[in-house]
Amino acid sequence: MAITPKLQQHDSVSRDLKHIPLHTRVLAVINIPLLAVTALLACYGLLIVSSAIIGHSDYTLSRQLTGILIGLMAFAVLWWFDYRRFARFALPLLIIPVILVLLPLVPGIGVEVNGAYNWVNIFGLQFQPAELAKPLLILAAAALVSQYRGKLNSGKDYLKVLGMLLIPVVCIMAQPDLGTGLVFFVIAVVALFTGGANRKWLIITAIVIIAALVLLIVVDGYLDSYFERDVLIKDYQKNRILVFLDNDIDPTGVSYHLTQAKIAIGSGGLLGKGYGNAMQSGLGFLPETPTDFIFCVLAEEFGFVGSMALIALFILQFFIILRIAFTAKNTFGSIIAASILGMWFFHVLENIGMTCGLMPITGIPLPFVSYGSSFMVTNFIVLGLLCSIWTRRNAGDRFGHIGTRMTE
Amino acid sequence: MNVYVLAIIVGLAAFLFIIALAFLIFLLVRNRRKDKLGLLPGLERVEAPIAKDEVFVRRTLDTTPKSGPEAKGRFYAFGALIAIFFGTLAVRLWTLQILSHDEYVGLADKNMTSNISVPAIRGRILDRNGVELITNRPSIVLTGKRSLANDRGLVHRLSLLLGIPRGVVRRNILNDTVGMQADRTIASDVPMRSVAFIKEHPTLFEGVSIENRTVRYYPNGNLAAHLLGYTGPVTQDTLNEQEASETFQYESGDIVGKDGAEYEFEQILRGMRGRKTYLIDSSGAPLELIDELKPMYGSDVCLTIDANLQRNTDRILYETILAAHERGHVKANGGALLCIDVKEGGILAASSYPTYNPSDLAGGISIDLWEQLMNIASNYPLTNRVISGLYPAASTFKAFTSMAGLAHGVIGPYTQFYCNGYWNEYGDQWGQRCWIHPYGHGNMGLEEAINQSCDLFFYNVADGFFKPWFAVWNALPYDEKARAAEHDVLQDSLKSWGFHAPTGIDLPGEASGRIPNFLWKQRAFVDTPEDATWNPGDMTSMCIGQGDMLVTPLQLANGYATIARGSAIKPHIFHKVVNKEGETIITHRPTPSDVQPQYDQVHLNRVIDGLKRVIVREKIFNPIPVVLAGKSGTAEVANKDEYAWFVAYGPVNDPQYCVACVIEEGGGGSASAIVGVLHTFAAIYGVDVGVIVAGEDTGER
Repeated sequence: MAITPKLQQHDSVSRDLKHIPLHTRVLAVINIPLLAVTALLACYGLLIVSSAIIGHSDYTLSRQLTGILIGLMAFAVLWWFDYRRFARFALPLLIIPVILVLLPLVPGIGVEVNGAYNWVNIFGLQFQPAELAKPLLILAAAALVSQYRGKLNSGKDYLKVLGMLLIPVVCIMAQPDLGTGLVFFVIAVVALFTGGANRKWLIITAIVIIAALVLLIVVDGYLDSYFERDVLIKDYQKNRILVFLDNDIDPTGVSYHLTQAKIAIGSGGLLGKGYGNAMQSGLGFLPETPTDFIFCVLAEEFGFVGSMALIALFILQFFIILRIAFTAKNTFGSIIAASILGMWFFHVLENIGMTCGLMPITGIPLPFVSYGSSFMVTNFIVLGLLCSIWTRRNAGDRFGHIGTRMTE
Repeated sequence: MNVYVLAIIVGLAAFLFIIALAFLIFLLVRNRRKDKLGLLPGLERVEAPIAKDEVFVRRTLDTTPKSGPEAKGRFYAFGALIAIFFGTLAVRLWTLQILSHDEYVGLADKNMTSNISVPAIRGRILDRNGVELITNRPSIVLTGKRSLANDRGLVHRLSLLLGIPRGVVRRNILNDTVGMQADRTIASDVPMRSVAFIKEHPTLFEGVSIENRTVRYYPNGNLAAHLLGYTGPVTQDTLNEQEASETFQYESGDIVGKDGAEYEFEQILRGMRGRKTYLIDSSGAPLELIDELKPMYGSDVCLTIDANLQRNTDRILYETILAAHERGHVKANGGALLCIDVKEGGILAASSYPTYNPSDLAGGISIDLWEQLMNIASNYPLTNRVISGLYPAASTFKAFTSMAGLAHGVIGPYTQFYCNGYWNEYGDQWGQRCWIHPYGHGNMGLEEAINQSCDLFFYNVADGFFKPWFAVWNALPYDEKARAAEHDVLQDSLKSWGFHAPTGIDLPGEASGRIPNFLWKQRAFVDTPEDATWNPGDMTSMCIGQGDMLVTPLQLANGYATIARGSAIKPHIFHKVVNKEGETIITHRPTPSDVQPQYDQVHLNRVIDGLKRVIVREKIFNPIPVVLAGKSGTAEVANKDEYAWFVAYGPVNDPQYCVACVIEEGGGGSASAIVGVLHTFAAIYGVDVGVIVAGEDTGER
């Protein structure tokens, strides 16, 4: 074994791999179940999207394919790239998402859609910067939390990290985009939770949030009547909560979307109406079918069996990610994997849950299925991160201060 | 972009991507001095050289548990949360897609299809010769919701455009006769110019919709208004009943018959609504016609009415009342005149006065108009006096009393009574006068008693019935007096001529009339038992058509038609039904009445002879070219002037027409009502008898 002393200083696990066959080495770095499940999910999604966009002139399949292609390139790069290098740059990783989130508010490049500034248009390239902010925020949260090596006990430190992570959440509300704001919040909470934040602080945070929400609702009532207009919480947001509490409150009014979504899902039955026969979306009873209500199209066309197939793919994917988070031998990678899982899980929970009346209605896309190139790129970026973590699951801490949970 | 070009580009890109990926992976795992990936820690426990690749792989994938119980537990908690959510979701989808599948399929169908109801055109009403009495005409109608009344600007604009006062526009919108939720009719028969203006300025008239409707049209004005009846919007009650019984015939805003023939023949006239089922998109725009059910138009109904004769009777009745005024009977303000086809029982003409204009009521009755029509000063023009008016029959009733007396042997065909003008069989406290008083008619046979309308003769007939009845009644124990009703021989005999029960004519709202007996009297005077006895006076009054007995003009005419014909047939106005193709579907068949009079032909001939003598004596009938038989009557009504009656039929040998006329407070029957009957016969036979002038009321009855 020709191992130089110089190398030994820097890398404790440096050895010669010559005696291990190449194909064995290759298999060791690829998480085949994850890639297989994700590929199936993406193909399934593409199938549904191509049916859902029929009759919608604003949506084209080529844009979705472009998103997948760009995403795949980003995926390859990030897989190859050693994610541990990000750990050093917690602050820039936090500032860039904030800039990205505020970008649509800059006159000239921001584009207004449905009263919200979620889009930017730079040199003819139109995308949602908040989507690209998600992986950066995941990295930032993981970098911030992992500094404490899995034990965030000090209240001062906890507040510092929480405060920093809440900045992008507050900024996204300015667009306003409640759905993405909740995603950011979920990322922060999952990072803190799996990063070993003291249970006490977590419970206190939960209580404070619930109290703040109750206070907000009460104060909002007074403010609305005082200013005689809709301030703070908007009426449509209140209505969504009301609809969530009572699904059939006003089938032609505020609960129209939910009613139509349930009709689409329910009329699918066991095997569905067949590919391309989604009448509810085809005749326009359901809005936003390629994006927010894509699950309804699937449930109507492929029925219970098709829905359960999608859910099975998500379950498999999530438990594979959980295993990656479990396996990664450094805290940074583990927290990244967990936060990615948290983000996707929240997307699936909200997107499918709202169509069934399990969650209040807020429009966020379904990973790998919904139409939208920005989010598709984001999904492949985080998939690249996951693969990078898996590939380097046994690598030690080589990059400065990163805490490691390895016992040895 | 072409699909094939797209597929080639995607395939190429995927191929390049896979090559790039393979290269990257090769770079990652190539044998370098440094194990940057940390592959080897997983290999440490594997002995080199590796015998079996699988062992290596399994080792490599082997997970090392995290340190710290907290972190480990949190990952498990996360996994549990995911499992719980997906479990809930699966249950939810099972519920929605499997258990409630049918319900949602129904909702989806309801979503995607729209039924448009196509109204059926209401059938016409024609006379026996096919002359249109009621038909339809198109009308452009402005409708809107009730809330429009609060839009002052809109009301003002509509007022200017339509030339209707603002208050009227507002009142029309607020008019809730069609139901609270239904669209209100703002204006009917809107000129095309105004419609065009509204169409050009949709923003100025938001909420106002323009509808093409058909409305009932009365080409002859208020001819036979009472027989034809009127229409109005279907009531909410009817719609609710429909809802309950799940028979959907009407929709809100539909026109239905409210009275008269329009009401009676509703099922024939209304037809069946059609339906078009469209596949619609979410905006409700129809995409495709899936199913169509053509409307079945209502069929035409021909009535037995003869429009020409009806026009004459309407005029004659009105002018007869005017003539009564000229003779000083200024309170005369109502009456009825009808002509029955004796052979078939059909109503050839039936007029009731005062009358109304059915087109005023066609689109629903406004409160103002209703108040007017129900006001006592207007003398209730909506009442069809022919079938609903109740009057004492007076002397016209004597024909039936005679038949009853003859049938039960109370009098014989040649019985004579002496009339001295005063009858005190039961003592002076029950004394009654003949209308000729104090001299009397002298010796009276049946024919002459009918001709001269001798009351005293019929008092004796009444007495002949009363005595045996009283003996029965008297013999019964106190608590079984009611059984005396079984011995109401006179009443039963009178009823068999069609009194005391509706004749069964096919019109709504027919009155029963009344032939009193002591049971009725007990009920009527329940609070004053001392008056609740059946006295000889009650019997005698009834025999001359006075007292508590009541008939409708139709009953009386029907009774005389029965005498003329010899048997009872239900009077009717239904002639036949003609469908849109002009084919006769249903024709009326004469139906015998439920009750038939029992009589001896010899007796009937005697009564008819008496009736013939009346016409001979009334010389004004001379111009009529056929032999008639008839009777006058003058009814005394408390606190009112006398009611004039006259009824006649003819030709006697081959009876065809029976005409009856009553003038409320018109004085003597042989002075006033007689001219109504005379002119009706003159109209039937085309004889000129001059202008209508009432005779002088000589007191003759």
